[in-house]
Amino acid sequence: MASVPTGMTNCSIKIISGRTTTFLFPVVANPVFSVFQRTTVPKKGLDIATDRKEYGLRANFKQITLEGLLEVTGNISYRYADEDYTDYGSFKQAVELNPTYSIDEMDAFRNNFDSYNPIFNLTRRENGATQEYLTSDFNIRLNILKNLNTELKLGRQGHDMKKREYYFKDHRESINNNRNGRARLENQKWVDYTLEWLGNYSLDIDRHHLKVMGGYSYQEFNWEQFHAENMNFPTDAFLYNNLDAGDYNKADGRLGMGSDKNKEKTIAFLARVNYDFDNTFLFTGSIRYEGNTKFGTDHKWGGAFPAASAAWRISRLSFFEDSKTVDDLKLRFSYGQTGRSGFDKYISLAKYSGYGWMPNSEGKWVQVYGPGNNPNKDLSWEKQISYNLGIDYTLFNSRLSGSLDLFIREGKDVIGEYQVPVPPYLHEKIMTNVGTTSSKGFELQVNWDAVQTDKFTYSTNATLSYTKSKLKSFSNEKYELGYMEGDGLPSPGNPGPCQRLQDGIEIGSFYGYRYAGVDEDGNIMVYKGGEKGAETIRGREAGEADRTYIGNGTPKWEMAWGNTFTYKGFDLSLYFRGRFDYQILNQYQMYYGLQGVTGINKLTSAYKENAHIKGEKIMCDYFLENGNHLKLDNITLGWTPKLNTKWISNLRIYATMKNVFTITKYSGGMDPSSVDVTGLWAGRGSMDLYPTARNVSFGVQISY
Amino acid sequence: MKNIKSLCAVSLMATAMAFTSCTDLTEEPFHILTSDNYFTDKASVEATVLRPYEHAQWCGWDGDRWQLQELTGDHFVWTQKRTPWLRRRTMGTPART
Repeated sequence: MASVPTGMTNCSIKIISGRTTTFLFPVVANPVFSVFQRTTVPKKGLDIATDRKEYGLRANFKQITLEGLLEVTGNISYRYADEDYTDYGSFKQAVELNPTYSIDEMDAFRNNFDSYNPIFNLTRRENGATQEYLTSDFNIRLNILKNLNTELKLGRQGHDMKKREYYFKDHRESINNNRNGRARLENQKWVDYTLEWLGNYSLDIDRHHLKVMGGYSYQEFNWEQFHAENMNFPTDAFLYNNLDAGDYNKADGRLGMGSDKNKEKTIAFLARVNYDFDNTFLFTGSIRYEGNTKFGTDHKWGGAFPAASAAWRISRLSFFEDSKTVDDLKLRFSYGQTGRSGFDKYISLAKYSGYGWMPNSEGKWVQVYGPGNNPNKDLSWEKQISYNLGIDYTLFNSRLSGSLDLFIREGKDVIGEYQVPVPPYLHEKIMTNVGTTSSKGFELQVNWDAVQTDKFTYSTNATLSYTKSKLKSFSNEKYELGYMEGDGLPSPGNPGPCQRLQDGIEIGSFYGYRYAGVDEDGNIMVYKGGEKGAETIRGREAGEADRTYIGNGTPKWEMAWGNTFTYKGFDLSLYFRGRFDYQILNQYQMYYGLQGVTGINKLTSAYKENAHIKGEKIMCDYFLENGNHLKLDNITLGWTPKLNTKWISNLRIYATMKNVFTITKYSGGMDPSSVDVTGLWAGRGSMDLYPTARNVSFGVQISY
Repeated sequence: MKNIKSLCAVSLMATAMAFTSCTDLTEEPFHILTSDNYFTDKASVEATVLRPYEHAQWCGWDGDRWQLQELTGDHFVWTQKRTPWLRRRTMGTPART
């Protein structure tokens, strides 16, 4: 489990050394360490199915010629990974199953689609992939004048994946479907090309410093996929290596194959100006005229996205000249607009899809084709606009430093899928720009060298941030939507959706009933109209009018706190992080912690904390829990002995523990830090269970 | 002189062509059919003409496809009441909504 520490050596081999031409071929020692080194990322042994072997190589070159007029550089890197995947469903099964089953139980699960043997589910199959990454880039730079140059960058990123799957004859899916094995092979290929042509100019006159950059950027993203599958094999021996040996797809009307391909381009013209006066007043302005293939015909070019920032180094004022307290003080303001295009391809186009079959004019049955979606010619760029006011400080001989930032971020024309009336639309949903989101907050950063003596030092750094995000509006002139509900909670029980997005309401808000205790039979009671103290009614009989906003899953406060102690040759570091002021929907208690749950293994809380509830689960604030937590994420102890040898310049021995402990009141199955708290539907505690590992590693770092 | 002129013209054209391909943002379809790449032959036209009849069949229409030509007004409607699942067919009688 030891990680591979790397000593970086640059063996520069001078191949030609003429008057004007040098050819350098630096070899980075890092890959030499990892070649054929079986690294285990993520940790092998956490479960029986996951595995990863990886190796890679890197090389780069640089050539300067024509007395420095032309610079040519290039990089090539190759990485190979062989991975085996687990099935998260098995962990859920292991929790749900009756604990008295033996580990090789199979008969009890026959023709049972809800439960299965979690171990055989992983061992009676092969599921993995080989991945190859090849990245290469080539840069040419022409130094026309000392302060004027132009550079052309060409790049290609390739990624190939070959996925392999085989389910043995005695795997649950083979038994349940009455067939002899299933094999599947899949190839996916990603190829990205980039081209960038930039010009740089700089000018220094007296105390004025000016830098200008302008250029063009082209990015192309290609993806393609091919897969083939067959079932019913004479033997398990072939695995996925003899697809044609299976007889399943020999039957008429069966296929077992598929392919797909797509492409996207982003093109931009860009310009940037940097100006500073005497390193006291600093100004940056930039503009990016950007286009992307995915938008509607007349909206592919998103217009010009501007950005500007200004800074004033206050500490240059004569007032601070002799100050012993202030080393550096800088006031900043920035404004920026960026375009976002991170959504599916081909959604603005009018597409044709295949439907059912009809006899054509000659009486032959043909598949009919018709409009497959609501096209949107007006689909245009999503915009992110941000304002930032900040101050950077360095005080007391650089012993205290950091920054404070106030920010407002606004998302405009956010793209989403909206329900539209049929007619006039042919289909019920359309992808369009409608939403406006807004978030406000601040971030404080502090670095403090608290103790500095000859033998002992202590330094600490902390980051604290506060963010409040809401959905400003969800409608425009053309599309109006009062609110949008999140996905419904799963079966059994189907308690309905738990979150809602609405104009003016915070993102990540939970929407449901207010818990009002239980009746004499143990059924959950809720407040009528969602108002605390109002009349109580049985949860199952409550309706739409009784639902209300009951909590929020987006943490308002986040913090990170690092501490480093050194004593003689020893060093100790502790890193904490935490999230505060938010709720998590504890689905784990909801689905496993009530007595009404049948057929599966229940949590002890069903007869302890939740013993009073005997009826069904109801989506109410009883199941919302405070998500506040503080976690010691990393603790490292190191020792750097003094060595008197010319072979090794530095040696450090260390031990690290990750995920040491978490302080929280959250009672869910999983660590609250593993609950997703980003995005529109934040704070839904997942029912997927995968153990969060505490890992310990020991290592030696050698530099020579 | 002529050579220089034609050279100029050719290089201008080449630059213009290079420039347009550098700013071309047409979305290329591969795995999908769009209104641009769909209609290529008789079969594709027929398959689209047949789509409404196939759709009608799902809603209860089972007559000959030419029979619709004989109907006047709203003899065949597909109304939608409250839920999209409540659909009704009216044949030979005026449409009810």
